[in-house]
Amino acid sequence: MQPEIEHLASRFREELAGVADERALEELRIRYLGRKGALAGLFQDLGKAAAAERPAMGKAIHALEQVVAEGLAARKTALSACAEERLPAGFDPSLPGRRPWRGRRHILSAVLEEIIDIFRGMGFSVAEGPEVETDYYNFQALNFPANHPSRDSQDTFYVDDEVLLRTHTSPVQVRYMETHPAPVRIVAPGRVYRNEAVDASHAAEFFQLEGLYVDAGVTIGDLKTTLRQFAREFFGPRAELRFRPHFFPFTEPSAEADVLCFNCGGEGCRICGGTGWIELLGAGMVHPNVFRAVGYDPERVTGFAFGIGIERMAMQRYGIEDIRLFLENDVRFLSQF
Amino acid sequence: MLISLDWLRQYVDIEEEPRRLAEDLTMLGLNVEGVEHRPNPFAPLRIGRVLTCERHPNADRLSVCTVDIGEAAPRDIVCGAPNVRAGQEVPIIPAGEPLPDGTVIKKGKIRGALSEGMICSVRELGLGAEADGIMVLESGLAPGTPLSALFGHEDWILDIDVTPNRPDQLGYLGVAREVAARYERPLRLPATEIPAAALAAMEPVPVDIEDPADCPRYLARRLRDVTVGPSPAWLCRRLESMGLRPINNIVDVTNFVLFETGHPLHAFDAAKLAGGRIVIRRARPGETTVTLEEKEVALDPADLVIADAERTVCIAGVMGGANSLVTESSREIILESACFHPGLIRGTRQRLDLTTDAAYRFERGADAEMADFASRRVCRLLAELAGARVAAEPDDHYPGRAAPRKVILRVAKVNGLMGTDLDAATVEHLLERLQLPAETAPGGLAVTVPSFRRDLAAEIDLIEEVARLYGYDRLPLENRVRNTLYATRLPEERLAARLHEALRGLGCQEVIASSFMDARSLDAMRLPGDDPRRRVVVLRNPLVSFNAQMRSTLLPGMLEVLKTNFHRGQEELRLYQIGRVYRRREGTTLPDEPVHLAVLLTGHAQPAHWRQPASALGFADLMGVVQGLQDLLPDLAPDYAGDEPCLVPGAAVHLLRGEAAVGWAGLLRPSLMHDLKQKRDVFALEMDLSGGGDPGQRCFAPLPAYPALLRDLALLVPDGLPWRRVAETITEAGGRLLERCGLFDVYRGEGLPAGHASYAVRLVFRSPEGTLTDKQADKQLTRVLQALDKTLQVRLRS
Repeated sequence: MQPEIEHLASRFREELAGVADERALEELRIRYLGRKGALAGLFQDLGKAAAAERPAMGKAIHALEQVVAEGLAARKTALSACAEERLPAGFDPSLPGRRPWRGRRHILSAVLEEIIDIFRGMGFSVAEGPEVETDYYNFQALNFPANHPSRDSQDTFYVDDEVLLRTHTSPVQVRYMETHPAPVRIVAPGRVYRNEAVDASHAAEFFQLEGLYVDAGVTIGDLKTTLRQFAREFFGPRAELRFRPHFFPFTEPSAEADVLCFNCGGEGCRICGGTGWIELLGAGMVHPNVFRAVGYDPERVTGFAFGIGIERMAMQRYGIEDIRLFLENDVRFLSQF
Repeated sequence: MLISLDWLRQYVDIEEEPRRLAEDLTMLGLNVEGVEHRPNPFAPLRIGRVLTCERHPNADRLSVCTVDIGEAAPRDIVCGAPNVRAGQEVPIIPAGEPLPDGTVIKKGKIRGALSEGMICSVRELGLGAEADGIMVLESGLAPGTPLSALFGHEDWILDIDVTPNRPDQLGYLGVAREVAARYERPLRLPATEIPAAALAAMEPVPVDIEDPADCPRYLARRLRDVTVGPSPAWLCRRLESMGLRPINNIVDVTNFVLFETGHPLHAFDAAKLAGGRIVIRRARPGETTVTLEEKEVALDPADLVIADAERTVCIAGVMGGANSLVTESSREIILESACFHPGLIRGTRQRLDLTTDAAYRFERGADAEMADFASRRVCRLLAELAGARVAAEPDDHYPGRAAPRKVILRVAKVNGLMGTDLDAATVEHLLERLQLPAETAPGGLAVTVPSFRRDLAAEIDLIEEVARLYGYDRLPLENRVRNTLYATRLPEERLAARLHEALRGLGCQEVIASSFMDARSLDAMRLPGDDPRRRVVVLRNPLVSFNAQMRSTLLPGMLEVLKTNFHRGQEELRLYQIGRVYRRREGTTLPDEPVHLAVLLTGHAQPAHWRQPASALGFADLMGVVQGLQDLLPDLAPDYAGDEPCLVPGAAVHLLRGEAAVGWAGLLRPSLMHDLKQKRDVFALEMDLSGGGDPGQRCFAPLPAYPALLRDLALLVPDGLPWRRVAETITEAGGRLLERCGLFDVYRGEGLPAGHASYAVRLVFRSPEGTLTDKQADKQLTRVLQALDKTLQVRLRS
């Protein structure tokens, strides 16, 4: 009897190994443990066996029964685990993913926000002022005399003789200093307007960011340091600035700051017009007449101011060559940033 | 201001390369915007020696020459001139090179004989009119020497952007002064002495200045026996380098001196001045005059004119008159060298729209002291070039004469602003280089400001002079921007940042549209006359006439963006804008500028995807945006009773904050998009954000400790009964154990009575005190069903 049991055991192991799914496993279980299964057959044989052999034989059959039961159970666990991990037919991980509509900031709004953040990190707070302004705040308080050629560079939209659309964010300087004692350190972002024909490099409405720092002992060195820090944050750590004298009625000394051409590194190329430098922004030390207009004592405080064109910054950084794209709002343009 | 380097070198030595000079001037504040090289037009030509000269075998009038032009082998050149001989020194243009007029001579065969260039005539070189033969040279220079060694000149033109504070830079002398200061080189002033032989006693010119404030100086000089004729070549060349066409020696000399000194002058034909007198006065009402450009202009009493005894002969400082013009036949002229009130000239220039070199300078402020210098310079040149006899004494009326200005400059203030540590001697030396003499005085350096620097009026102006000559780039970097001032955020900034974040999360693309608005858009929106959006700010001088208004609502701009994108095939649009609108307010000078938010949705609710067909956007998608806004603005509530002229009635809500209506949301009337080819549903909202939004600190709500019980209902709801009423009734009847009531399906169709829908509603019951029993939940459910039945006649779907 014993060899027969052992043979059955080894056959079971072979068959178990060949089972691929739960149905085959169930069939195997029935063949061995079913009412008419192999083990049932063995137990019948046991009844017919000689009494002396029965205890050993019974023990061997029980051992086999246990092996079969354990084997089936283990196989069942393995098969069901496999079923849980099984993927549906035709599953293809390379099919496109699904995501909802994506929202974005307008590129100008994003660049403006980034610039504000850079200055906020240097302790500048945001101040705001009206876009429809008086001649006083836009010009007179900023040391632009009436009927003077210095107004020629600022083609102005007028509502009436006294009211106009601000041509720069500088009136916010005046309004802020009128209502806040020194020291002040602000940036004033916003829209400004110039009555000029629109083309690839000129817009009638654009964004500026004004900066102002007034305190005891502020120097041109502070201005240079602040703007260099800004340029390095915005254009990268190797950005180089140069300052050259210029004229603005409301600052003196006045300067224009150029950034070293990122395209040619100063060699001179098409982008920088061969000069190696790209005009970036205007700046200077607040003119004593502006301090007088707002009731500050120019003997006690000095300060610097600067104005950054936001479109220009975005155009420089992203290589955009037509300023009209910003206001056109073609979503194929806007979605690139 | 264009500056010819060749001309500029007359007044100061310049050794620097033109681009180096341009860079140095730029760093000094004279922004050089362009550097143009004008090569010598004779550079491509060579001096040649005719070695042999034979008759052309096939043409009697042609000669075949071999010419040495300094190359390894002589060139074969066919020449048609009768005067060509062996041994001559001649100008050669090699084949392939351009003549001064641009013509290029090609290599080729002439009647079978090779010709590798051309022997040039005077006319071909542009050096004269005669052309009966080739030009024969006698320079003795080696063959091959460029002809530019004998003729023409190379030049560089700098284009300087002169800022309005520096009228002194509108003349060569002014620029030369800056160059001299920069490189510490002497300045050479042009000669102004009038040769004694040319001086003669003449009767004075009667000059009458009606208001000295209008004309601080008027210097007239009489010149007689002038011979009007063409200007010499050197003068023509100077004017041509400035882009001017020479006219005659009188006009050319006044123009030359205008550029040389920066001081405008004018010459009258003395014979044409009625009464022989000069009156500086305002124009009479209704007066007209004809300018030298033969244009009749109407004058205004605000215009300053030069008149004779009877009529206006010149618009002062702007343009001369046709009636007193110097012509070929003029023999006696009166030369004006004056100084006028800058504002007057500017007013007239703007009113008459006459931009001239003279007006450009006078409106920026002319140097009264320069008037005499410039006048003497013109007289000297006319004595030389026009044979003029000059009045020994000018008629100089100078009511505005003033002592030179003195400005005190404190060295400590210089260093305080520049962040430097310069001593007084260094500062003094820098000033001296700029021709600003300084002497030690109580309180600082007393600086004498010369008349040509009218812009230097205060200490700060001198500090700028010191700073720019010292060099901005040499000023030390500092960092006194210490954190004694902390950056704070405005509430508006915080709200805007949160709104941008929320709207991005809702899948909306920000747009920034124009602040201007088409005047007709408010009519398209059907706004009544008393709508606050009708209080528009109108521009007096708009860029384009139909965009003369500032926007009073964001919607028209959003629609423009929508149309732009539609026309380019972009039809899935979820756009938002946060921006100011502008509305007139009675009793204030400036309008209100509240910040608005607008959202515009069209297309599909989701991006097209293979897992699921995209469904069209619906009103619910817009209300989803409103709900997103409610997260930030908890007091924002829709008012379903509202209507809005630009929205489809019934698909419109007002947005309220407390009692105040702050905006609207809904389906736009299709007529607003009538110019689009395809009709589409466009949903939009616009609201005023000026109510602020910081919701303040929200209180934490503890998480529920006990499980909830769910009850799903299918309610039969008649059409026309708003869900809002059903929800309110359920919420009220559900009591405090009803945590939430949510609609999860709406079914219309078979198996329902007509005019009804089945609403699938899930009620969530929960108690904060303990685990609810089914009995407790069902008790509340019964109350809900009773209330629905009683107040709304809504029952369960059977």
